[in-house]
Formats: sequence, C-alpha cells, structure tokens
Amino acid sequence: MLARMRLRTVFLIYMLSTAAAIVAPYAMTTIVNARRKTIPVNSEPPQEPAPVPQLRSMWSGDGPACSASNGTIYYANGKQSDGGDPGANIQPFDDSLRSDFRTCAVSGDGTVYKVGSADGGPLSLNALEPTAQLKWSVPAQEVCSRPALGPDGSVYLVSRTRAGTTILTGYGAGGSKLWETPIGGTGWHLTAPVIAANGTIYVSATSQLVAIESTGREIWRVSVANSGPENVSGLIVGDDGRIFVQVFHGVVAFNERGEKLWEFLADNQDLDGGIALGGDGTLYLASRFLYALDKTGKPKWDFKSELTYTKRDYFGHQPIIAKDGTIYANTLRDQLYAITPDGRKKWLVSGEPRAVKRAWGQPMLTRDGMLVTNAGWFAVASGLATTGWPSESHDNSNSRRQENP
Amino acid sequence: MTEGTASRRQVVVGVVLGILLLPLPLVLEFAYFHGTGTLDVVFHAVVFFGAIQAFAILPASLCFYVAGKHGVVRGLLYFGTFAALCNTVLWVFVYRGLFNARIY
Repeated sequence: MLARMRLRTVFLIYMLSTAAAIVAPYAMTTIVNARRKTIPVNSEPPQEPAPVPQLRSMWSGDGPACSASNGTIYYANGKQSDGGDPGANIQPFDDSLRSDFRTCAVSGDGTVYKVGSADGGPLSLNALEPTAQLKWSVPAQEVCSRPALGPDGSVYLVSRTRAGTTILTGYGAGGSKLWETPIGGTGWHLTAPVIAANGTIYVSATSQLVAIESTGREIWRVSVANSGPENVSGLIVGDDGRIFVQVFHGVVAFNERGEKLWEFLADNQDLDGGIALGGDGTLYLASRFLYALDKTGKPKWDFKSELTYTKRDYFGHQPIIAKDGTIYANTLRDQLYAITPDGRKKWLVSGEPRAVKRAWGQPMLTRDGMLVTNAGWFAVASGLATTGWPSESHDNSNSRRQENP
Repeated sequence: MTEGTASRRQVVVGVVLGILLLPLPLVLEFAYFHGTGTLDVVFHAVVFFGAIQAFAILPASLCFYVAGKHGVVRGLLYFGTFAALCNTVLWVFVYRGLFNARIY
C-alpha cells in the first residue's frame, strides 16, 4: 500500500508528522499547565473560621509603620492612633513636620525616631517626643536606611553620601555623632542595620556582611553568597547570635564569628517578602511559597497560596510570628493566611475587602493580638512573639535589636 | 520534467540515507547553540528534531526528486515520517509524568 501511495500524499503525511513533532512539546506544556490550574492547591479547609475584620477606610492605603510600648500606633501616612481599637481616634501626629513614619522607630521611653524632611527641606534624622515636640535633629544623607536603636539610646543609620560612599553612623542619645564607619558597597538599596544581643552591629554592603562593634570598629567582613544574584535585602539576628541574610530568593546563615553555616535558595522568579525567625529557631522565608527551615537550613515544610499556579501568586509581604507560633503572611493577591507552626492552614481571608477597596498590605501584629492591616484590623489569638525575630524589624517599635534571652 | 522512477531497492536506499543523515543536524545544532546555557532542554530538542527535517531529509529529498529518484525520495520521507512520529510519542511519554505530578 505504501508503494502505491502517491508521492504527493507521502510528502503531505511527512509534513504533518513533522509539524506534530515540533508542536507536541508546546501542546503538551499547554495541556499540562491547563490541568495544573484545575488542581486544587492547598485546598484543605481552614482549621477555624477567619476572624471578622474591622474595616477602616480612612488609612488611605498607608499601613501601620511602628508602635510605642504604650500601644500608640504610628502610620506611614504620618498619623497615629492610641491603643484599643486601632481604627478609632486616628489623628495627625504633627502637621508642621509633615510627618511620614515609613522609617520610624520608637524607643522604650516613647521617643520617636524618623528620617524625614520638614516642608520639603533636606533630610534629617529627627528624635521627637510622643507629643511631637522635637528633641533633636541631625542632617542626614539623601539616601538612608531606617534607623536601628541601641539599648542605651544610641541610634545607628546606614546612608549613602553624595560621593557614593556607604557609611554606618552611630549617634548618641542626645543626637551627637559618635562615629562614622565606611562599610563599602555600591547598591542604592540600603539595608538597615541590626544589633545583636551582645551589641554587635551587622550591616550589609551589597554582597557582603559586615560586623561592627558598638564603638564603630569593624570586626569582620564576609562574602554572603556563592551563587546567584547576591544583593542583600534583609538581615535578622537570632537569640543565639546567628545572623540570617536574606539574598535574592534565599537565605544565608552565619554564626557570630562570620562563618557560613548554610544557604537555602528558593525557586522563585518574583520578589521575596522577607524573613522571620521563630522562638524555636525555625526560619521562615516568604518567597514563591512560605518556607519553614530548620536550624540546619533544611526545609521543614512549605506552604503555597491557593492561587500559586492559577494567578502566579506568591508571598510578597513580610511574615509575622505570633506568641502561639501562628505565622501571618499576606500574598501578592491579597490572600491573608494564618498558618500553624506545622504548616497547616489555620484560616484564610481571600482578597481585599470590597467595602473599603484597599489591599491588606503589610500587616502589623500588636503585642495584645490585633493584626492591623491597611484595610482594617483583626482580633487574633495572641500578640507578636517576644522571642526569635518575629517581624521585619524585630518588634513593632522597629528597634532592629535582639534582646538578651 | 524527469519521469520518476521508484523501486523497492530505491526506497530502502532512501531509508538508509535518512538514517545516515541524522548526525548532520545534531552537529549543526550543537555548533550553533553550544554555550548558550539559558536554552532549556525542550528547546534544544525541538531545534534538533526540527533541524533533522529541515537540514537533512527535506534537502536530500529535493535533490533526489529533481534527479527523478522518486523511490529514494519515498524512502527518505518514510524515514522522516517515522522519526517525527517517534518524536511525538517521545514528547507524550516525557510529559506524561507531569500529568501525575502531585501538587499540594
């Protein structure tokens, strides 16, 4: 039969089969992806119903930035509210200073530190009374990190000079400049310093981790990662002195002598949310998934957003750890999850609330158990953890300082 | 136009010729894309199997068609069809595993 087939027909069959061979991988990929989208991802029912959010539309998308020990919450848009219902009694902190609390930190005595400018003037580091009265102000560079607060009232700030030098500056409790140390680095993204329980200050210089004494003397300097893009985007310090450096899609752990302990790189093509450390030593990395890593850097579990494969969702916000071990993490698509310490779905609030049409954004968990977001707040089981490094800046006062255990 | 000739022997010659031509596109593909590590395996494979047909079977078929050796052309096309179908089956086999991948 093959011999009697016309040559034109043979050629046609040949061309069709060739086309099929070339198209096959693309067709299969399309079919597989379409099928993956129909597979329920992390579709287990939540362990408990989500708390009812107390929606507030007045926060104009500017979320909570820091809070004082008396419960006062300072918002990124320059407003503040007292404790209790964080949606009530919101008022401007200080109109004359055009306050912007995106870089704020609050010391134990209620002093508010922030980098900002008055009426569009040059940037300065300001220390303000809770009544908004200016205690002191020192000029700051045009590019600054948020401050870190020492236990004795000192303030540390990473900044980049006009000459392109990145420096760490230590200020005394009264605002006097104590010292200034060049730390190197070429990037414009400046990671704020962190302070270990023994007083050592850690800063990043592009792809290096630098340890500096509280006197400004450099102790050691190490390269952060061996592979991949290496810009440091976050730093935290554990109770045991270990330093965790968030790099592009991963984490690198060092001991207090600067020796590299382990490295974990996640499979991600999007931005990462951040890292947090539980009191039991578990490190959480918000990335494409939420990863829980044990003390050796091995994954204990990972948690996926239900929209991971259908809407390319990922954990793009900083995870927060509560006293009871619950991890709160929001995703790019506004899937606000409460996750148990063993990686199960405790509850989920899916999508931004229509009533206020605001994204949840980066939540803040107060010490008495209010999960405050851009669009409202939730009453949850317990407040922010007091061990480990439970939020981006360690605590809601943004001290960026590890306490003595 | 040259009157075509076809015989069982010519068809066999065409099939053997198709097999012998297989390494040619492999060499071409390797020489061109060697060092471009960003290309994934699937793309390499598609380029390779596409190149088999584009740089080996089709040109050879055209030459033998012009020469009137229609039997050899048939042999080449039979082999090309066989290779392409095998390739399609191979893709289905490779991707079959992804259908059963557990996603949680």
